[in-house]
Amino acid sequence: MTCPICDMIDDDKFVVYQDKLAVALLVPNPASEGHIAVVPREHHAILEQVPDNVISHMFIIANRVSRAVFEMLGAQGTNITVNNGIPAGQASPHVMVNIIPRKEEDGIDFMWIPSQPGPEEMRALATKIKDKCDYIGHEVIKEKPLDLDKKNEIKQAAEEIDYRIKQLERVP
Amino acid sequence: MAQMTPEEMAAQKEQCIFCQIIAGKRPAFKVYEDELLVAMLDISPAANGHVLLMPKEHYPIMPVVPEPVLAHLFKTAKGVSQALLKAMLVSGTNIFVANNPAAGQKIPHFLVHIIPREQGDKVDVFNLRKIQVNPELMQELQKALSGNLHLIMRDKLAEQGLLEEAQISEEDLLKLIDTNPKLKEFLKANIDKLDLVLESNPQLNMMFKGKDLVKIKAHLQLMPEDKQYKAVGELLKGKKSHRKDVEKEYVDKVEKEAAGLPVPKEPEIIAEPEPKDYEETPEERQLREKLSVENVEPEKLEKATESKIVEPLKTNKKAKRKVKKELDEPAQEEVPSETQEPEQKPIEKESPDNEPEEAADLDAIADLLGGRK
Repeated sequence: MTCPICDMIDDDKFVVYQDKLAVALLVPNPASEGHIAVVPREHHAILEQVPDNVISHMFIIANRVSRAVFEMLGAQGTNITVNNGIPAGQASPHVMVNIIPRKEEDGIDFMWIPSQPGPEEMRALATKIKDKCDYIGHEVIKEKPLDLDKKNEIKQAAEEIDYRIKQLERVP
Repeated sequence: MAQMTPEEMAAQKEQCIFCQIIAGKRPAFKVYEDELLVAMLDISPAANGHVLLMPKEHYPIMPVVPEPVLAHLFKTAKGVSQALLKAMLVSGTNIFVANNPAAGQKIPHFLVHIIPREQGDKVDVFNLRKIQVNPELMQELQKALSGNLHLIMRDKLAEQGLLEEAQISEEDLLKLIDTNPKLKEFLKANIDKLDLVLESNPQLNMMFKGKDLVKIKAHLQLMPEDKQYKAVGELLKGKKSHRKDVEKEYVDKVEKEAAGLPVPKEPEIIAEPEPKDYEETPEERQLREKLSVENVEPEKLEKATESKIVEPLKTNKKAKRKVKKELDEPAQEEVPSETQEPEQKPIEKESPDNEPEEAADLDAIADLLGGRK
């Protein structure tokens, strides 16, 4: 398995910051001078595979890098982008958060052509997305291991209910 | 970073369209909401299902958002991205933040764009252009940035046990101030009320805690303004000026004043901050010019070095692989260089689901209970 980003992490040449969870690299073919990529230390192909704590940590680094870029390089603005998935323009098989220092008239343009969907369409879309968004944050609850006593209580409760229903079924 | 007065902030908040939506004064197609965040559909989207995720509190740009909020926000952004993949049946998303109008920000309320993407759609603005950069410039950038980031990230490094102390040593702090022109300007502008400023800014407070403010003030006052970028070059070359002696004298003076002793008049300390024999060498001048980004012309650099960057990388890769094979060991954890950390510690591996059986059991029980209701 060869991942150019994993190689860059091992190679100190482009590393500007590293810790146990994430690494910040200078991009060798940057979009502008001082373009930095924050990547998870472990290899993950898409954002959805990266654990939550690592994501939070990566973006905290991105935020501080962006602040440093404002102050040190005199940037007038920064863009922070994640291209997640090949259709979105992901160029490497390793998740990366790009921090791109910006100046007025620097030739970079992220402006898309806006479309104007009607209210009906918007409402339908909102409902569809809201359904899926309801699951956000629920993984966190699942991760908590229940203590054994509680588990047994639940089991007992389940058995009791079963027992009563069985009794009911037996009644002619 | 623009410093805004509370009144200006309040005025901006008053006019902010997203704050009005959050306050319920304007309609919007909300798709997610919790105590801190709200997500809604963009009314002029790049693609169908374009979601804006933002904190409920009004923050003009990302650097002023508190870090716990950011941590929660981007965790949620991942969730929204996942939701979009499922809801819109697409195979990719773009997550996009613009800070300041120069980067394309239109409304001064910090927000994250999450845009569903599929092959062949018309949103092809996120493919990053690639320019060639002078390898020397890259090296200088790397040095300057890694020094700074190591200091800026000190608390996080300490949290992970990679540093013994989160506190920055005084010398490092002065170095940080020297390599960071904006920070220096800010501190200089507020030199009279430094204590108050530091108290109101948690990150600065962390950095300056327990430091000798008199000494720092002395350092700030003795730096002439036009030496901002030279300071970076000086630091990189490892040159030391005679500033320390001058600082010491200043501190002595202040202490004497405090003790009520007569102070010998020495106006030349402030009049001549730099040693006379110091002259900028041509190399230093070049370096300084490179580091001040206004002077960088991408086209010129591009012509000068077309393929130099790629080759060393390739050879390096091969060498790395060889070493890896010989050792037959996974490469682990390279600790940030120079100053500290004698031991190497292995990376902690996360195991999110360590009790799959239990989870399955619980699911089954939950189903059972749910079914009976």
